[in-house]
Amino acid sequence: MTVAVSIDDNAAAARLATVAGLREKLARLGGLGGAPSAARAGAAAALRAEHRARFVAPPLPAQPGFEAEETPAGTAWVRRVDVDLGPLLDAAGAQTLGAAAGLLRLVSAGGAYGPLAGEPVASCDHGRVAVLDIESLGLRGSGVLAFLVGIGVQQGTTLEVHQVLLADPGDEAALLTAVLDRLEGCAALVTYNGRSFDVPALRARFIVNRLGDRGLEGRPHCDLLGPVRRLFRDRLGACTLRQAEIELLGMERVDDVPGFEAPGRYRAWLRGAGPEALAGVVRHNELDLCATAVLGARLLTHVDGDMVGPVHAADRFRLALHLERRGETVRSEGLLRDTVTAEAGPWDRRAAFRLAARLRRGGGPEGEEEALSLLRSLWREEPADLRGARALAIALERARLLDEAVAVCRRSTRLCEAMPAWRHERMRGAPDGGWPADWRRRGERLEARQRREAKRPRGARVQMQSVLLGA
Amino acid sequence: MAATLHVPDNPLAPARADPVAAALDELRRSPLCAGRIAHEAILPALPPRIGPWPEALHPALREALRARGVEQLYTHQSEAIGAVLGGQDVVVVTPTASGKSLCYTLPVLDAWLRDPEARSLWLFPTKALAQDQVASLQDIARHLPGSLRAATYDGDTPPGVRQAVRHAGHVVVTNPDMLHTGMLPHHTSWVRLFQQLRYVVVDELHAYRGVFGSHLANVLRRLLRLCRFYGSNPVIIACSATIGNPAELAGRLLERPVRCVDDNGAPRAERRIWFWNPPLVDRALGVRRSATLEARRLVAELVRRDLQTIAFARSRSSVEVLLTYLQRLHPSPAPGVPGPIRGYRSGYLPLQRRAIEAGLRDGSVRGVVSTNALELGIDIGNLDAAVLVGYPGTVASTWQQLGRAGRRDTTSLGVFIATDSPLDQFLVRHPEYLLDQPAEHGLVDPDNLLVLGAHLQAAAFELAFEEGERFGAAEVGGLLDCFAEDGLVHHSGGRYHWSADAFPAEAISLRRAAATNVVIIDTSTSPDGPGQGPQGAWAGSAGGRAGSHGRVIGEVDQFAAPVLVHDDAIYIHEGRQYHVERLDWEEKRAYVHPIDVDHYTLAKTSHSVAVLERYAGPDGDMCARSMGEVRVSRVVTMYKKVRLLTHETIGDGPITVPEQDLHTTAFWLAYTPESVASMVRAEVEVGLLGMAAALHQASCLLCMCDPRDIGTHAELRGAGGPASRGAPESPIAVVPPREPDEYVAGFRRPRNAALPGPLSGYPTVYLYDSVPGGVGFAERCHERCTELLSTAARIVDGCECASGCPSCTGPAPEGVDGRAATRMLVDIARVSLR
Repeated sequence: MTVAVSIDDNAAAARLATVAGLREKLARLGGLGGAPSAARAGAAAALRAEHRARFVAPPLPAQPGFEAEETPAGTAWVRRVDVDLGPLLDAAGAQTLGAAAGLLRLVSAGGAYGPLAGEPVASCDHGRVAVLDIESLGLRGSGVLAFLVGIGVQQGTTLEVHQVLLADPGDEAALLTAVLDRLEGCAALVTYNGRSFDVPALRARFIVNRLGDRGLEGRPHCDLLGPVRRLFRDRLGACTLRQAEIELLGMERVDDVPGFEAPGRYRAWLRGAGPEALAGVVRHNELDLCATAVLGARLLTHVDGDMVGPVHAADRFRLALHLERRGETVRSEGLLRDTVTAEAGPWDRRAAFRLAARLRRGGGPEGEEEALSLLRSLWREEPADLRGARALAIALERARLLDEAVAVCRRSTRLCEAMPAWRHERMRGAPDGGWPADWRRRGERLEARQRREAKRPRGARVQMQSVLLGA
Repeated sequence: MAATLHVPDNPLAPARADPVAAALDELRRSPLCAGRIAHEAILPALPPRIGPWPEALHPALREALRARGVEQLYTHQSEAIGAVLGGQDVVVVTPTASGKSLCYTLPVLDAWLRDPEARSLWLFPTKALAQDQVASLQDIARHLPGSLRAATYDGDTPPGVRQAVRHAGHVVVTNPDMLHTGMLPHHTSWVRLFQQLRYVVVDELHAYRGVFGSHLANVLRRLLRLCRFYGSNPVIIACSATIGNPAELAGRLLERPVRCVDDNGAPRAERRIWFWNPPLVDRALGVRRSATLEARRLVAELVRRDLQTIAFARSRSSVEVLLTYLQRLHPSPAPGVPGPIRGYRSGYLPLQRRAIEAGLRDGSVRGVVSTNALELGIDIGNLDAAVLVGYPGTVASTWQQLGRAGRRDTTSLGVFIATDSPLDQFLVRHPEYLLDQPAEHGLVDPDNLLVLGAHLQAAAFELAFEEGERFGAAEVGGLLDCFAEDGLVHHSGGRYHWSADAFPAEAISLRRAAATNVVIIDTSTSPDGPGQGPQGAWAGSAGGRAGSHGRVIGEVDQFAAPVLVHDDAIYIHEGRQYHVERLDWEEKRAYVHPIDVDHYTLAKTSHSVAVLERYAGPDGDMCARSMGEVRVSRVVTMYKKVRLLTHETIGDGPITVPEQDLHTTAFWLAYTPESVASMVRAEVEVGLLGMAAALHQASCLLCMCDPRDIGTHAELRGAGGPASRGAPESPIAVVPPREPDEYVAGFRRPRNAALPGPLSGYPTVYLYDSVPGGVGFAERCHERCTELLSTAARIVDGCECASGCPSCTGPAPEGVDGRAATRMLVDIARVSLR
C-alpha cells in the first residue's frame, strides 16, 4: 500500500522555496493562532528534513491485523476478532448480553434520552445489537476525522468486533462505506456518550463525503451514559466509562492507552512511526466496545432483574425514580420504602419526601395519613429543612389541621430569621422573593383562616374535615 | 425599519411652524454661541422620490406593507429590490434612516412566500442590531400568511432554542463572530440552511473596514465555499452608510461584481450643521478651551430648551467625564431614579443599554452621551440635535453620527465641536473638507497573511482542500504545503485533510478588541448598589477574589485595560467614579471600589520601532523613503491625575504592565546627518515630531482612514537609515513560531532575544498600520509620497500660530521654531524625493 507521488524536481524546489518564504514571514508576523506547539514543531522539523530532499508523500502505513476490503468507494482496512464476553458478564453479575428491546427501553422512558419517540420498541426485539465507538482527531465540529471506527455485533455472549481503520485520510469514503455495510441489518446501536459525540461526529463525516446520513439518522440508539447517570451518579460522580467499569463491572484495564493519546499516536503512525504506535489505540477501542456491551447487560439486570450486589440505598432511590418515570409505580414504591428503612442519608429523606408526595397524590385517605406522618417525622428530624417544612405546612393545611400548620409556620419563620441570609438564599427550591417573606405570608394567611374557622360552629368543621378526607 | 412612507398631501407646501427651527434661531443669537460658530451649513429639505413597484414581488407583500402604512417604495428601494430579484448582488448605499432594511426584507420574504423551504442568513456587526432587526421583520411578517420563523443565533441564544433554529429557522440573524465559530465549523448541523440558502444579507458594510473587514472577507469565503459544497448559490445584499468606495469595498469583501445602488429617494427635513471652534485660551501655544467643557454648556442648553440631544465623545473616559458634568446640571428627580441624561458605551451591561435605548425612543431620556457605540443602526428613533465632541476620525462616522439627529418634519441640528487636535483644527478651518469631500474609502486586505492563514486553517477543518483549489481569490497551495509540513493537514489523494486535533476557528478573533476582556469587579459590598448581578459569561458566579462578594460592573478589552484600569486609576462608569485597587493582568481582572474624588486619570504610552525587513527603498539621497516590515513595541509607562473642570495636572504615577508588540508594515523617511547639518539638535528633534504630526494628519486624509488606523513614531537615531540596506541582521527571522499570543491579536510578549541596538542611527519618521501585518496604508503612503509631503506642507503653512501648536506640528519648547524646523525637514524630503 505504498503510493509515492513524485513531482518534477524543479517544481518541487519552487514549492519548497515558497513554503520556506511563507514560513519565515509567518514567524516574523508572530505566528498563526493554530500554529503547532514548540514540541510538535520540533517533530515536524525532523520530518521536514526527511522529506525535503524530494517532495514525496510518506508511504502509506500498514497495521498488522487489518486486511484490505474493497468497497465501491475504495479500499477500507478492517480487523475482525470475536471476543467471548462470558467471564466479564459473570464478573458483572449479568447472564447474557442485552437484547435490543430492553436496551432501548432503558433510554426511551425519559423521552429526553430516547431518539425513537413513538417507535414500537417491541419490533426491535429480535434484531441484532451493534455497539459503536470511534477514535477521532479532535472533539468538536464538522471537521473531526474518525480514524478508527469500532463496531461490535452482539451474538449470545460473544462480541463480533469489526474495526475499520483510516490508512489514508483521502480514503474516508471507503471507511464510511465499510461502516455502513456493517450497521445494515442492526436493529439498535449501543454507545457510551454516543448521542453527543460518536454519532454526530460520524454523521458529519457522512455528510461531508456526500454519503447522506442514511446510516445513522433515525436508527434506534441507546446511549448508556444517560441511564448510568440517572441510576448511579451518586456513586460515580463524573460517570466516565472507566469509572463505570471499575464500580459497576468490577474490572480494571491493564496497560490501556488513554483516549486522549489516540490523536497524537495516529498522526505519528501516519508519518511512519510504525505499528506499535497504533496497536494500543486499536486495543483501547476494542476494550471500549467490550465494556460498553457488558455495561448494557449490567444495566438491564439492574433495572429488570435482581439488583447486582452490593446495593446501596442511593441505587434503590435512583432506580425507584427511573421506574416511576417508566410508569412501574408498584416496584418503584417498594424501592422507596426500602430506601426509607435503610436510613442512609441523604437518600432516606429524599425517598421519604418522594413517597409522601406519591401517597398524597394517589394513596386515598390512608395514604394521606401516612404521608402526613412521614412529613411530620421528617420535620422533627430536621426543622431547618425549609422545603420539608413547607411540604408539611401545605399538607397540614389541606388536612385542615390549622393549629399544627400555624405552629410549623411560626417555628420556620423564627428559624429562617435566625439563619444568615446566604444560607436560605442558596437553599434549593427557594421561593420567589425569598424564604422569610414566604413564611410570613403563609403564616398570616393561616392565622386569618384559623380565625375564620374558629367563628364557625364546631360540627360544621368536623363535617368538612371528614368530607375532605373522603370519609 | 424606518421606511414607513407617508405620502404627504402636498410635498411642496411650506412647512408648518417648526418649533425646533425657532429654538435654534434663538440659540444662535444667544451669547452662548457668540464667536464660536466658525461656519454654519444648511442642508435643504429634500422631497421624497418614488420608484416603480417591482412587479416580480409577491402580491401578498404589497398588502402587508399597505397594512403598515407603506404605499410606495422610494427610488433606491425599488431599484435595489428589482436588481436582487433579477439575481444580482447589490450594495445599497444611502444615509441613516432611509429605509435600507426594506431592500433586503422584501426579497427575503418574497423568497419565503414562494418556497417555504427557502432560507436566508443576515449578518450584523453587533448582537444588539440583530435583535432589533428580527423584531421589525416579524412586524411585517405578521401581515403575511404562514408563520415565518426568524431568530437570532448568537452567544445569547439558549441551547434549547439553538436546535430549533438550526433545523427550522427561515431567517437566521447572527453576527460574523458567531458565523465564524458557531456555525461554519459545525456546518453539518446546518445542512438545511446551507442547501436552501437564497440570500445572504450583510448590513452595516462600512463597519467592516481594516482588520475586521479582512476577517469578514475570509469568513464569507468560507461561507460561500460551503454553499458551493451544498449546492446553493445565494445572492448577497449588502447595505452601507455613505463611504467613498462602497462598490469597491463590497467587491473586495464579497469577491464578486456587485451592483451599487446609491440614488437615495427618501425625504429629509432641513438640517443645520454648525462648526464650533472653542475660543483660544493661549494664542501663542494655540491652546483652546476644552471641547468637553464647551459641549457641557451647549448640551445642557439644548436639553434645557427641550431638544432631545445625543452627544458623541471620542473615548469611553470622556463619555463619563461629560456625563458627570451634565448630570450635575440636570440631576435626577429623586435618588435611585435615573435622570434625564444617560451615558451609553461598550462596557455597560446589556439590560442597562436596552433600557436607555427604549428611553430614547419614548422620549423619557432627554439627552445621551455616547461613544460611537450608538453610531450603528441601533433603533433609538431620531433626535433633534447631535453634538460631536471632537472629530470622530472619519468622514463616514461624522455623517453617521450627525445623522442621528434628523426628523422627517422638523429641522435638526448637528454640531461639530473641534478639539485642539491638529485634524480637528484643520477641519473646522476647512469645513468644505467635511461637507464636499467624499467619505473615506474602506480598505481591507483579505490576503493579509495572518488573517488568510488563520481562516485557511478553519476552512480546511470544515472541508478538505483539493490540490489547486483557490480560497476565494487567493492562491493557497503554498500555505497548505506549509500546514502539511507542520502536521496540521495531511496531504494525500490530491487533497489536504485537516488532521490536527485543534479547533482552528477558536484561535481566531475577528476583532482586535474581542480577545479576552478584563473584567471589572467592584469589591465594595454596598447593598444599595444598582443590584445587577454578574451577567453573560459570569452569570451565577460570585465574581471577585476569594472571600469578596464582588459585583461585576463591566469590562474593557485587553488593549484598553492598561490605559483605563491600571493600578490606582480612576475608572468612571455611568458617571460614578471607581478607584482601581489592582489590575490583575494574569487573571484579567481589575478590582475597584467606588470613590468620590475631584480628579480623573490619563495614561501615557510610549513606543519604539524596529525595522525587520525592507520591501522597497531606500530611495532618495539626503532623505530616503522606505517601506517594509517593522516591530512596534508599546509600553504604557505612567499616568497623570487631572483635576475635573480645570483640567490641570495634579500628580502622576507609574504603570507596570508588560510591553506589547505589533508586527506590521510601515513607511518611513530617514535623513542623512549631512542633510540636517545646518540645524541644531533641538531643532531636528522638534522638527521630526512636527513631521510625524503633520504626516499623520496628511496620511489620514490621503488614505481616507481613521487616525487610529495609522500610528506614527519619530526617532533621532532610527535603525532604518539609508545606509543600512536590507534587513538588519537580527535573530528575529530564525525564532520558531510560538504559542498563540497572550494579548490582543497581533500583540504578544516581546521576545527575550536582544536586538542589536541602533549604535549609529538616522533621524527617522515612521508611519505604520496599527493592524498586525498591515492593511495597506503604509503602501499607499509610500506610493503617493509626493502628494503626502505636499499636503503636510500645506498643513504646516496653513496654521495661524506663532511657532507650532497642537493643531499643526505640536507645541515647541522655548526658543525653537517648530513650524520652521518642520517646514525645513519637509522641504528636504520634497527636494530629495522629487
